[in-house]
Amino acid sequence: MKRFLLLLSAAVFAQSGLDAPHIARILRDGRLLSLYGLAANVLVRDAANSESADAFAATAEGVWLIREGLLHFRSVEKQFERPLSTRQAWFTDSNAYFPELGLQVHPGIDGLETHSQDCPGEPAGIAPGGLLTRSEGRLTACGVPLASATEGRALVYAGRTIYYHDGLLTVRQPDGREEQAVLDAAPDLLAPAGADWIHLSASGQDYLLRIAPGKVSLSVIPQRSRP
Amino acid sequence: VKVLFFIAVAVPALAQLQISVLTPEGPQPVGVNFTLPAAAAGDSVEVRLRALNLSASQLPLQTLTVSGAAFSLAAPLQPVTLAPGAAHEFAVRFSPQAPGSYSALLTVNSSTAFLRANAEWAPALAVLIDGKPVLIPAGGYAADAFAGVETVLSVAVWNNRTVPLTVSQISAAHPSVRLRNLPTLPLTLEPDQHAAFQLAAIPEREGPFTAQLNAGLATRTITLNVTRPKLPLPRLAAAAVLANAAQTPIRVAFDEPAPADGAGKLRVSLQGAFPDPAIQFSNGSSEVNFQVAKGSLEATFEGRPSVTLQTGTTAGTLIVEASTESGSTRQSWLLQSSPIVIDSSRAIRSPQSIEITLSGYDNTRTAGSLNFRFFDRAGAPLGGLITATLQSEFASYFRSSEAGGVFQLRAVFPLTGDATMVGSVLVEIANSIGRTELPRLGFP
Repeated sequence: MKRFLLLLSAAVFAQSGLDAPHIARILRDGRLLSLYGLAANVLVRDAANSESADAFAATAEGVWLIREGLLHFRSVEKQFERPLSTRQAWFTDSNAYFPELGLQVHPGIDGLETHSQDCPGEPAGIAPGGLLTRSEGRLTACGVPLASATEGRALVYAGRTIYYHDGLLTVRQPDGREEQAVLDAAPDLLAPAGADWIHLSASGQDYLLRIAPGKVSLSVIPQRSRP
Repeated sequence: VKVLFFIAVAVPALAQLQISVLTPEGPQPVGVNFTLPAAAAGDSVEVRLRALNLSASQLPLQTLTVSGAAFSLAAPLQPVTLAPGAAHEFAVRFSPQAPGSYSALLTVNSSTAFLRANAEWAPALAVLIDGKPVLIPAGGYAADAFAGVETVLSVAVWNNRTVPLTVSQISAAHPSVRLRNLPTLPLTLEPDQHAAFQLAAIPEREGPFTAQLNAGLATRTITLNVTRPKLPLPRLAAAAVLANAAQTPIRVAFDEPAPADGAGKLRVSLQGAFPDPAIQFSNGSSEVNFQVAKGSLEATFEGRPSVTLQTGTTAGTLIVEASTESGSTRQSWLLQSSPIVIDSSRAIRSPQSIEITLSGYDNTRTAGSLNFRFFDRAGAPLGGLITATLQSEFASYFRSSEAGGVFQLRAVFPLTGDATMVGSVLVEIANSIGRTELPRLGFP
């Protein structure tokens, strides 16, 4: 019979630690910022080495970054970069879409693979499988309906669909359950900021959307950290 | 009609002194005869003059008189010596008590000039107080006003005499003054009858603002003592009850409309045992400015109707103070000390260890003991209770974290044997207020 033994409690915390909870990383005004705390208790700090970028997303798969004409993807297993002639990008888990170029990029075996998608409608966001488009008030993933009506940007990330309609930001969880948060304007930015967090911007205000099941909530991101 | 004769005296050469009347266009020599502006009987007009030394030597000014009924010097001469090219300014007042033609002799040292003026009955200027005309005295009328805010005075032309009088002209000599609801002119007023109208002005700056109001022969100076308008006392509109780890909108309202554009400030502070940098407004500061538009009952924060306040993770009394130049008001909320709140938890295992991560906050910063109880996949206990006392570790962390009461605890349990036997764990964490038991954590 297999045996199970927890080592003595004296050794329990040999590798343990206490720290401020780091919840997300976002890009604001070209500067990368680290967010600490909890929902509704957000502390803003400069990211390590005061990094800057033109576009950024911290996804569950890795980090996307555009800086000085180069697109970077970094994860535990992979690290790729390639020249890029745009500063605008939409990101999800392991896909990036460049609306100005009409290109989609994802990390392959040997590098960043590029392909284009011909999906009808107005580009509205990105899902791991491809481009999200809006047509006649419906959000689709290359023809597959996702939501009946949307405004602003949409995103499929970590198995959740995030979209906005009529004053409500909706997170459709992987089990189909929907949770909502009130937002008074359609978001013009939706970017993964952490495993359970989305950075969104609406009417010039930055928000952090928690997308964990049962805990969907919207927090204002303070403009700068207190001195 | 009272008529005074005047003597035509040959005027000695005014070789040494030149007498001029001061006009908006500059000094105008008066010559031998000078006619003053007509005045309303019972009223007075004043003319400013100057005597200029045209000689190349010092000239003592010894004589300055005006002789003639209804004429006077505004101030007696104070002996003065004029340097070459220097001038002495003085004023002659014409105060007729009855209609007629008047004259006087103005003497400055050995130089003389004839002054002439006419007087007639004319309506007076008045302010309306409780709907009744009150004569504006010769010194004018003064009222308080706010910069940038329209001030409206109710004024009138008033026949305070015993015969019918006609007024054919009403005007205000100032580009920022408007006269409203003027009567149709010419207008004949019966004795004791008045015709009301409004004088409206928007003074731009603080300080005295003066304008001449004219109605026929009547001229009066209207002076507005202009100060900056003050916002009313602010009132806070916020939730009655607040808790830690919350974001709440704060509004600032006023019980009366703002008299002019203005501004104020909100400050948040915590009276508690520990500072908490997470207590801040959405601008990232413990202070935020608000703006108030003229006529508004609510302040805005960079165009938004409210500002978000983050309540932090520390127990104490949270105080928000709204201030304008009129004063300040404050609202406070008690953030009760509470057992530790765990916001998220995670349990993972590897072949060599089990790792439990807890994120939450302790608003008392007295976290200390933890209990762990492991269960197998069937729910049966695996071993006994494991207790850890981390009081000094927590205390050390809170002293240096600069993140308020939030923490993330990562507990790693080295193990031997088959890690897959572990199905779930119960965790308890305690502070000085009480013990928090987490829902059973399953291992994926």
